[in-house]
Amino acid sequence: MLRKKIKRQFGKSLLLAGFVFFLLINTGCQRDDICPESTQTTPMLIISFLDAEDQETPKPPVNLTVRAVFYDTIIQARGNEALLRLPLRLDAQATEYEFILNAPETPEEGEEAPEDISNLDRITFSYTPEQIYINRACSFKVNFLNLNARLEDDGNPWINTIIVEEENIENETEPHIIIYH
Amino acid sequence: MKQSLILLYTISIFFFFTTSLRAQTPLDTIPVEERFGLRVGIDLSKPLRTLLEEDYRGLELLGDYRVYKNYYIAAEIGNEQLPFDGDNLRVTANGSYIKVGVDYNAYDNWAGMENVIFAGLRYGFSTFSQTLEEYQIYSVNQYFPPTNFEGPFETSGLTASWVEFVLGLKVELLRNLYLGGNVQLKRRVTQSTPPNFDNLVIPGFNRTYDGSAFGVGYSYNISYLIPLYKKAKD
Repeated sequence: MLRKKIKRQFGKSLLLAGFVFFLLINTGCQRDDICPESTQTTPMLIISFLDAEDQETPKPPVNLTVRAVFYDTIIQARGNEALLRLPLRLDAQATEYEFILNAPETPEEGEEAPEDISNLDRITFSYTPEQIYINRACSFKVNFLNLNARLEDDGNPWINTIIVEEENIENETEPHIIIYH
Repeated sequence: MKQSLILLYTISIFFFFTTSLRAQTPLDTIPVEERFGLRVGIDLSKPLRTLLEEDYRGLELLGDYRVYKNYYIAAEIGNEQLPFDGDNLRVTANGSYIKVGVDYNAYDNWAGMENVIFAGLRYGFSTFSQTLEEYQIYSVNQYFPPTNFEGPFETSGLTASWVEFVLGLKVELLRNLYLGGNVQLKRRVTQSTPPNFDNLVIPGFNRTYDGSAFGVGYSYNISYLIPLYKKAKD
């Protein structure tokens, strides 16, 4: 009789212990299982366009369309910004981009295609990817070291000079590449 | 009618408990003998998780020895393969651990009963390897398809140590046979981590938390008491 009552009491304690454990588990985790947006993950390449004559003045390229070579998707369509952010390939030592100045507008139905005055320049960005562990939610990021930019000579470039301003891409605070045109 | 019957039933149960509780106060003064001995057992939750959970494998043996009044020397020894599955990476840790410490039985047993509600302290040590099975580089921009890296990338020879606070109980179900359960709060003291990575799971410690040295655990065990000698209860 007494024994039975004791066992009942123990049963209750066991339940309580289980509840405490449940609480511990639920309050303990989850927080670091989601990668917060504020975390500095893999940085993008930042390009600043400056005037070739007046080297201090930002000069947005006119109707600039950008896409990676061998990629159909366009990353920027007819943009007019002096700053450009481009992702780099993580699984390779180089990424090749096409910069199309004065990209033609896609003609609307019934309209005639405008005269094509576009100028395509290709730049190969080469680098050494370095993987760095962030945390369990964000996994790894890649920093790009020893950045190099090479303009492919096609005889009629719209780009004047390319200067590597920041050799190692570790954050997105300053432009890494300056393009004079 | 039905409600008043229920009320009557509840009240009588209440009185039954209060009166019988009062009657339980031991009045006899005959010295009671308590058994001292070695209790050995096995964690039931780990073999169960081995069956139910994919990628998990574990076994833990435990034992305690009553040294003085309500004090026990206690130890656990185990081996575990622990998985961690995140959004961007998958890890498995594999290794063995030992935990040594003391338990204090805070429960005042009645004559002839030897149940345990205890608080305990442990020092845990684990030696293990951690394998990064696969991971994905986190990139906000999705222009290029996500890059997966397939492992296994294994780092062996890792160690970790921690202190552990245990709260639990052991109930004598049959003579000498105990069913027990406990919860554990752990705090890591030392650890060696793989280069450019972290210990996401540690055998014996369970999963770790980024930016925190704390961990939690539980055990649901069955153990057998080998009585060695008897001693009069104070």
